[in-house]
Amino acid sequence: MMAGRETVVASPILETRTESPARAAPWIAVARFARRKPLGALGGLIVLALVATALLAPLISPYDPRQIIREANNRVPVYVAPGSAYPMGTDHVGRDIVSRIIYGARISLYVGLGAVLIGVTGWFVVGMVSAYAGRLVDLIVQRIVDAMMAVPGLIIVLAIMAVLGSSLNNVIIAIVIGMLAPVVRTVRSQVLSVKEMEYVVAARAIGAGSARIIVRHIMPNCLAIYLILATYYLGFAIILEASLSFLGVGVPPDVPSWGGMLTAAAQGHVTKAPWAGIFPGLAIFIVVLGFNLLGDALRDVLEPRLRGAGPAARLTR
Amino acid sequence: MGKYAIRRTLLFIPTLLVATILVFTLFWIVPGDPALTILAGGEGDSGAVLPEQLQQLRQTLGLDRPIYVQYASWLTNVLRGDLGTSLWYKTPVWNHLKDRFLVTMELAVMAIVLAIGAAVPLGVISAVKQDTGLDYLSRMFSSVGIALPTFWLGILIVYAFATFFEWLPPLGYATLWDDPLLNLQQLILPALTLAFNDLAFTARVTRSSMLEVMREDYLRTARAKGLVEMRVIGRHALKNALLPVLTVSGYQFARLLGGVIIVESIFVVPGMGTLLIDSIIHRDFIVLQAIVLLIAAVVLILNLMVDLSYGVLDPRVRYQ
Amino acid sequence: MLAISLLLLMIISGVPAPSAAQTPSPDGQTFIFPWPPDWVARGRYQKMVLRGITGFNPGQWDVHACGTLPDCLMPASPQFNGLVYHNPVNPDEIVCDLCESWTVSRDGKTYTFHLRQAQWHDGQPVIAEDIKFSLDRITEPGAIRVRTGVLRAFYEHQSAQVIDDRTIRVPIKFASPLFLENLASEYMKMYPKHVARNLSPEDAQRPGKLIGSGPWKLKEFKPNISIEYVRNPNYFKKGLPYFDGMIFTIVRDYNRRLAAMQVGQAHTTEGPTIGTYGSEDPMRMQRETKGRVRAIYIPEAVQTYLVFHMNKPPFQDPRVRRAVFLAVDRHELMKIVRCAESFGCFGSVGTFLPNKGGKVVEPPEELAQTKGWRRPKDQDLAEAKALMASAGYANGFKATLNLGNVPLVVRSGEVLAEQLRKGLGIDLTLEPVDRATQVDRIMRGTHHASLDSSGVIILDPADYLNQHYLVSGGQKNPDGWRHPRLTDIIQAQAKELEPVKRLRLLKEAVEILRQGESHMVPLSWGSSGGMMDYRLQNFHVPGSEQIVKHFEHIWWDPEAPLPRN
Repeated sequence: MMAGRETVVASPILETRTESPARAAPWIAVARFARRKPLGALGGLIVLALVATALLAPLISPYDPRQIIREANNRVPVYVAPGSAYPMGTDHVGRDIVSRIIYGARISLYVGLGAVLIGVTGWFVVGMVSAYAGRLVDLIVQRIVDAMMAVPGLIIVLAIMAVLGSSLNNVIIAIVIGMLAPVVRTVRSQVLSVKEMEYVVAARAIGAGSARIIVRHIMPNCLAIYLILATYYLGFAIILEASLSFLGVGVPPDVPSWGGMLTAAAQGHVTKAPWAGIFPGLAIFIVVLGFNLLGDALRDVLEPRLRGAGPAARLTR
Repeated sequence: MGKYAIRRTLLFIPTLLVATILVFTLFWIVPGDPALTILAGGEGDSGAVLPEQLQQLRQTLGLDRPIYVQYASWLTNVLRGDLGTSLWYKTPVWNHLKDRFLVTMELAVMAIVLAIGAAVPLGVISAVKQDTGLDYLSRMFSSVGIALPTFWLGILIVYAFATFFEWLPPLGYATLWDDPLLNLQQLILPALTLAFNDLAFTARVTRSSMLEVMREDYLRTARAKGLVEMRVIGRHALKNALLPVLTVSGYQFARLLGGVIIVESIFVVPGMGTLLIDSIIHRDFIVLQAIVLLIAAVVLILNLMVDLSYGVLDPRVRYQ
Repeated sequence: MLAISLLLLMIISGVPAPSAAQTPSPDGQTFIFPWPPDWVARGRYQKMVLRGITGFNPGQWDVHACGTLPDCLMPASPQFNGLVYHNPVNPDEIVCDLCESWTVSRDGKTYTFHLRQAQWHDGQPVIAEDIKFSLDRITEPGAIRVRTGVLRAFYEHQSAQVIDDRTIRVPIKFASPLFLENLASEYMKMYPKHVARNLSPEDAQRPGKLIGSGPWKLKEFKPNISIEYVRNPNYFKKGLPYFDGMIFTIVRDYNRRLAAMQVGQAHTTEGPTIGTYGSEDPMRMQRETKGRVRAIYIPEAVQTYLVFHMNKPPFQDPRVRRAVFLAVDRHELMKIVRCAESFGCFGSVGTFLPNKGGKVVEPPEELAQTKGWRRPKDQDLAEAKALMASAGYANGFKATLNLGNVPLVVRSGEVLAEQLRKGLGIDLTLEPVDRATQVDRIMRGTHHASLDSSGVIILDPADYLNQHYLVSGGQKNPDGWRHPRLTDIIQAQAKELEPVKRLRLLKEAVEILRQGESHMVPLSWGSSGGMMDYRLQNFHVPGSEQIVKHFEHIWWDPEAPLPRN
């Protein structure tokens, strides 16, 4: 964000202005953010914890996540309740749940980041191009978006997974395709509204080229939108991965994904070993909550007026 | 605006075509076909099916024709008003669809009504008492709604009712006009499950919208006039704040239809969701296409209505 | 000599000597089955509708063309009778259903059946013409007959002779101990000629078009909602069935079905047993409802096994196949997958042939000494590693495993993958998919290996020989693995009437398979489970989930004492 520049963000209803935060030392900005938005700070802490867990997994995990534990006299601890030996208990084939939760952080982060980096970035560009390029391009893109929004995303994602096969990368591809419609649509409408703003019209009038307009006027606004979308869709990606596992087309079952653990527990029946489902469920919930809280706070800070009606409201999903 | 409406309506056709071609092609690529599920089981135990038998059945069902021929044949039938015969059930598709469509719509409408009914007060309170404990509480609550996967919630609810209350909605569906009480009993749990997720989003939008509107000039005028705050909110703010809520809910409805699929199967609701899953498992793409067509049409019409109403309700807005 | 061999024939076909009345005749042996047997008098008719739940949506209703159990046979079967069937109260025994008696000729190649007085649901009498028509329809050349096609091996199309309205002579191609066992299959139902011959194959598959002679008439099928039956008041087995009707609600979600049984919304599960339930959950339901819901299960009803796809390396190499065969720890796999702490084990280690019909080909004591099964596994593992090295895979390899997404199978896959990774360095990527995809992939051999399950169809060890080693290509033997001696054995044992000789042949077959180079590695046997309200009486667990599917012999006793767990 450039200091002192007033960036204009418009919604079709209200023309408002917003100031970008003044340039400040990063930690002061963070501290200020934490004080103003305690929930957001909480979210940030959760995200940090997730990243730390993912990075330090081999160091802090007691067992290999795919290892079936064999105790003395060849006994395999299937569905053992949480206790001193296994703080979160064991699962349906005798693997330690703590280890799987820890390594699961890697999977969730990988899926989330992968989906966001490819999906949000990619569809962001598409949305911008669609808004800025000619009528024909826009028309075609819009029809595809409409078609994809009209068909229940589930069908598309199921079909994709069935064709590609279940693997981590294919899950990311499926999620990315599932994100196409909402991201493109949101970005496009934002860019469209900015495009029509007075100062942009003015800039065009004095002969500024499209590229220059994009870079100097539209991009800064969209950066904020990107950040907000990114945090939301990180959580979305994680939940979608869990849903895919539930439908039987997620990552391979021995890979320690939280969604996969949840599904196995749900199929292995909630009453018998509730811990097998509670911990991964809790993990998903906390992480997604964290991303959402962070996203909320970011949105409040970066675009305080960007909660208006119409297309902009879709941003708040 | 009339021109806009007409233009959008005309654009339905290519969109629907794209949607059906998309699904048709996808399921062409997916392994397994109806002949396989009929002979080797969509699920459960199966016999030793031989390739010759499969080939024979494929010929009988017309599955060995090239894909564009099959699509064209399907399309011509649809244009003539014939949605085809289910490959699995061997009975007309329309028979299956007509009852289920109403069931799913009823469920979706119930969910949306419940969601809006709870979300609006929640959002309003949250906005009016911004940054207080109440606000945080309600924001946490709606964050929970977003972060909880629908299927997980559904399973938990079934488990909770079965174990703690020892009661579950009776099996065997009854329509609203046959037996309203039974019908409501059967739909209330799935509707609540669906609503929970939608509630979160809607509450959030309501809050933002209220905050937005509450800062408005005309409200300042009203306050300056000496009106009580409650009245200010109730009469002026709420009306305008609700507009984006309604439009967002319109788009949410389409998203809701996705969640309906999972919820219907957990709660045994005989709607389009269960039919959809059924047709995917049995690779019954005739039924699948019909469902996709129907849902796509509903979503497109709904989106158009929302966009149009937006223009109607807020005179300041006119799309290009 | 004749008497001895016919006596042995009786024993092999499972008919216990004392219960059936036999009359020696110059022609051969006759078996008479007077009606009613004594259990009928104990039954009590209740004016109620039996409520069941099922997870499956029936597709087509022509039993002859059925390829699957839960969504084809189970819904349709209650409307029909067979010529013979498994005695519902003693399912290892084959008794008359529509027939009254049968006579086997001296050479064992002709069966003469005398029919009971019975009528179809439209009132027409059941006559021998109908039987001939049905047998011919089953063996119709060119018709798709996935589960009934086996009859073609015994019966020549149109060779049956109608002697009179109630007598029919059925010649078979060779004397075999297995003819009756196959004819008693639930899929070999009898249809009325005057109705069925006017139905096209497509029409016959629609609900309600074919009528039967059976205890139930199909009242209404509402797709994805319920299947309703109504009692046949003119059923030729007087007094049966014991309910006014049956209604099976279709509940796709497994947990929801369990919950329905738990709160008493249904009296019985479909089947009433099916592999989906296993044993652990029914036992848990039994405990949680304090005995109101009874767990029932068929032990050793379904086997999970590994199939190698030999159309490409690495499993093209028999050494690699043998290595995996030796390295898998079946005991551990079975314990993890089939045993539950509180209920014990409902499974056993996999075997090549099922020990069914009273014939034990692979006794557990023998397995404990056999390579691949014996424990501790050090020796076998060492040999396996050596084999891998000699095949060039000393450090293992990466491979893909195709399997269904049913929890039990997935669990087996997870354990298998971990064992192979730890023992041989084989890195298996599991790809659980839905059934249609799984079968498609098996048949195309897209992956390196697949996990699949087979249920026992007929109560005889030869069942698995027929399913897995007789056919070439298709789901059970996708690459058409063959061993010349094995093929000979399979054909010989089908004709061998002398039980001791037959057993020897079967054991020889097992020896060949235990070399570990076939396309299949048996993993674990599991049970086919279900649940019934304790007040339902007279259900006797059969040896296979494919038989006793008509609910004609079950009654409700409201005063039945609650059994103590």
